[in-house]
Amino acid sequence: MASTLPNASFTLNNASFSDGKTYVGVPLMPTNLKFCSSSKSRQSSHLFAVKASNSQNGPGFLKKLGLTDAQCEAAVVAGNVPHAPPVPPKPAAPIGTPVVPSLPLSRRPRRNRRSPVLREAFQETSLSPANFVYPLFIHEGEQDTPIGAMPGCYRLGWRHGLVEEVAKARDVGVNSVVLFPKIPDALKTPTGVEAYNEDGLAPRTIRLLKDKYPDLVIYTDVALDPYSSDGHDGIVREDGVIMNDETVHQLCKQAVAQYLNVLKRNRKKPVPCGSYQQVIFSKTFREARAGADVVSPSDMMDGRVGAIRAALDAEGFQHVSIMSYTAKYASSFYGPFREALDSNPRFGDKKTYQMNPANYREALTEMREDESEGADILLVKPGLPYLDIIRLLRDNSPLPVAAYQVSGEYSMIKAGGSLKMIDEEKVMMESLLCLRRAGADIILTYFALQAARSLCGEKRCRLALKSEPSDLRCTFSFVNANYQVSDSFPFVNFSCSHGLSFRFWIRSVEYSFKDFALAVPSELESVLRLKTVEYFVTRRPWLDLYGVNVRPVAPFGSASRKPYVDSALIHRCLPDELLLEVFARVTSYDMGRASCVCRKWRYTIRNPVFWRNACLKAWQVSGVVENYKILQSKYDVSWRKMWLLRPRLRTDGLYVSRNTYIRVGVAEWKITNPVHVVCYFRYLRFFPSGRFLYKNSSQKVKDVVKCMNFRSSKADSVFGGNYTLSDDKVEAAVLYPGAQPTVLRIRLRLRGTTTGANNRMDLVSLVTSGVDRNEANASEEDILGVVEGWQDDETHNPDVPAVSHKRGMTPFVFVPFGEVETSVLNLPVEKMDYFVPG
Amino acid sequence: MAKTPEPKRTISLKPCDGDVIEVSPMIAKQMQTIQSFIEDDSFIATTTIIPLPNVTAFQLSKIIDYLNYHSNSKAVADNVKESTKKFDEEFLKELEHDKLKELLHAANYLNVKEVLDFLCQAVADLIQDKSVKFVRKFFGVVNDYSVEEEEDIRRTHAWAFEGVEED
Repeated sequence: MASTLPNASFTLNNASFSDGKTYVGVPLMPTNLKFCSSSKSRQSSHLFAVKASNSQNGPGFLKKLGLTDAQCEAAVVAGNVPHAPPVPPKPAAPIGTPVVPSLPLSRRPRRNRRSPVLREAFQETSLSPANFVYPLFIHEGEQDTPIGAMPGCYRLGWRHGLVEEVAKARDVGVNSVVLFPKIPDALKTPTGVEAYNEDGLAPRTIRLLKDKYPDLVIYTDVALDPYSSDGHDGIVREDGVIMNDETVHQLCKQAVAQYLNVLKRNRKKPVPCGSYQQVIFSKTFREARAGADVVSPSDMMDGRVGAIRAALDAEGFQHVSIMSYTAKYASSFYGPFREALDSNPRFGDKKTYQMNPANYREALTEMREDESEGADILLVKPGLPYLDIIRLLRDNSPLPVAAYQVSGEYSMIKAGGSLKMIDEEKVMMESLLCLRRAGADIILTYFALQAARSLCGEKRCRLALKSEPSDLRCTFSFVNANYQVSDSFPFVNFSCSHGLSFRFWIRSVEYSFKDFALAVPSELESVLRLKTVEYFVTRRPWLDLYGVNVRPVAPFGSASRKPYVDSALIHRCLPDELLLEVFARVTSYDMGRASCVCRKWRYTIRNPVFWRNACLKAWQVSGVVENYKILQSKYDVSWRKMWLLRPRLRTDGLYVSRNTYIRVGVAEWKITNPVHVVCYFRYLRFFPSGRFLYKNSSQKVKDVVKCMNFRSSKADSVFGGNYTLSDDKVEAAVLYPGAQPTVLRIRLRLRGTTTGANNRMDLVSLVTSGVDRNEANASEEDILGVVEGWQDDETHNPDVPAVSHKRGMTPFVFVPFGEVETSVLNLPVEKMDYFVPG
Repeated sequence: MAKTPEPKRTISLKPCDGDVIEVSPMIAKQMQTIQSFIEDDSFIATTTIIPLPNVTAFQLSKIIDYLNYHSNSKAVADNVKESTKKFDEEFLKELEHDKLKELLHAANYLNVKEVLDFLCQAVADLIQDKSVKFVRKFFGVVNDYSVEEEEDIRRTHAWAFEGVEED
């Protein structure tokens, strides 16, 4: 445990970094800074709490008594041995452990592995963000397009996504990138002319990055395949042979000379070129000129390193390094990469220039050639399956060795991780560590950013700036910031989305960060009045190496200690099954509205049980079996769909049809000639059981609703009947009892203003006809059964002939019970001026 | 329901705050969580104090009140229906909204079916005929839809908004 500071905490100015174990105070801004750790700490906060409290009471905090050394020694000699913790008891083994004599071993390697501190002390290989080179795919667009086979990797827009990505990588200490441009198909030629266009994608990008981040180390890929219409690394002869000109040396000199001449005459015009080497060299120059630090020929042509070295030197680029792809195997692990750049060979394979995966000694040949030709870095590609090659180069060459963890390796780990077959992060870190162990100095890996972040402890920190209410200029209250503590450079770096960035330099690393200086850019000055800065950071384990733990924790009641809390009390209180219980008790209409509240509710409501119940209730007349049949034949077995799409009679209100007619009144003295506007309503109330109530009245909805039930008295003249519903057609019949029993047959068609509303009904026909007394008696129960099959004009009682009504056929409008009081249908006639003639 | 009642013996329940509350086994048995405990060993159950760390004294006493009232009224005839209804209304009126939700949580923990049903219905009644905005505000639910998503989902659920006030 790196407890190096004897006192628990000190605070300077108003700011404090603090930590469970060690507290380190720093003077920061003349504002109130509060730092608290993110909840993602991998060590349990509980443990920290205990440690912290122990150290408060521990021996380190004993008061000094002011005794001299002599006095102390004398006390011991006299037998007054000061108190120290007792010898800890031997930990018990589980019951049943066999008692055996200890093995006579003089060497027990496990001794050096028994505690984390020892393990860390004897670790032979280490991994740091400085070892990583981050390969980035770029394209001309502005949007970042994901690469299907490489989850988490994108073709980055060269001016937008790329710059951001590089900034992110730099924030966690990855300061080297290698660029792979995606060239538009239209610019691809058999000779790869675009490769030496000085204003091509790669040189432009390099200039942009170098301008923005002068200290960034840029590796460029020197190969033809992204530029070649054939997708090969060299120029393809008619017969399919990839040419490696025997006279490399001569050609090279010619090419350089030609290139330079042309360059002098016209810088922008691409050189017409016929030779592969020519192209490579022009491209190399172009990129070196643009500012690349390391050029890496990945083509595996023979003799290209020497030629490039010579050409670079001749042009005055002695400082540009060459990372040679010394052992690049014709591997199947490159698949995802080729998708990323769309650089699959159009025909054949690359086996005539890339190495055979079966070969080991061959790598030595390549290595010797590259060494003698002047390569600065030797690269092995792919990485993990070729660890032996890395070790071979490491043992046989003093040059730095690079390993390329290729796209296939990346995708495999990603896929395994996303399928939860392996722990992605641990496997990632292990694979990188193994590459280092095998002897790689730098690793080109798509994991660079992720791994560096992991090494830095935590992904992202949040800097929350709360502005004072009085300062209206501060319009933002929260700013996301990246945070970095570098292990090689002792500084704390903040940058946030508003373009503010500030840096706390650590001038002295002697176990404390006493000496911070803060460079406050001018933009920040208005922010200085900010009240509190809350800061969430987590573990940065490598700082343990310094014996310092600067994991800041809020001094009191850190929010991060609390588990995530859903602000909605109902979610906290109601487990999902209770939410289900609640929804089971509301109407379908309330469920529809509740779906709009939030996602969780919506998904809960998707549960088919609710809709099944609602459907079986709404269409109970059809019978369960029939409903299931309809569900399967018409609604894809979705109860919810059936509820929405199948016409359904609503039972939670009244259907109202408002009819008016005009009657001429009696003229008085020829002075007034009144016209009466008469308004009456037809009311229908349906019940799920197949019964319905009918009332024809001039009373308003709000009055009628009170008597629309089976308990109503005769005076209310509410008549009950039966109905059937098939598709959207409603057949209903009511019997008016009395001296001359009359049946009223109503045919309706259901529709709605929106899907599933079912709030309108057209009156198709309305027929009254007399029935004879026998029929009337028999039909008290099932009047519909009686009239079934009757023609509209079929008269059964000569006194009351069948009449098909043509008036008062306005469509029905649905009024839910909740709205009967407020419905516009309650308005008096004269308010509905559109019904008044003239 | 009543298996040879043991009127002398009571079950001691200890909520997370406040003092031990004694209840008759009749009542305690309706709490499924406790019932299993009682059934395992009724002697221990009556002699030890059962700790209920997730339930406050207020919630426990409310639940016991409800069960007491209802088990008493059940014994009598139907004519108490009206008074039961009144009791239920009073019961709810005393609860502030957050308390209601917390009580529901406690009832869920104790697994008291009767109270659960009653409280779920109460929550359902609160949702009844309320606008989306109201429900969100009332329950403190964060709207996690994007604007387009919400528009879309409202369009598909238009049938449910028939007649509900726009918010």
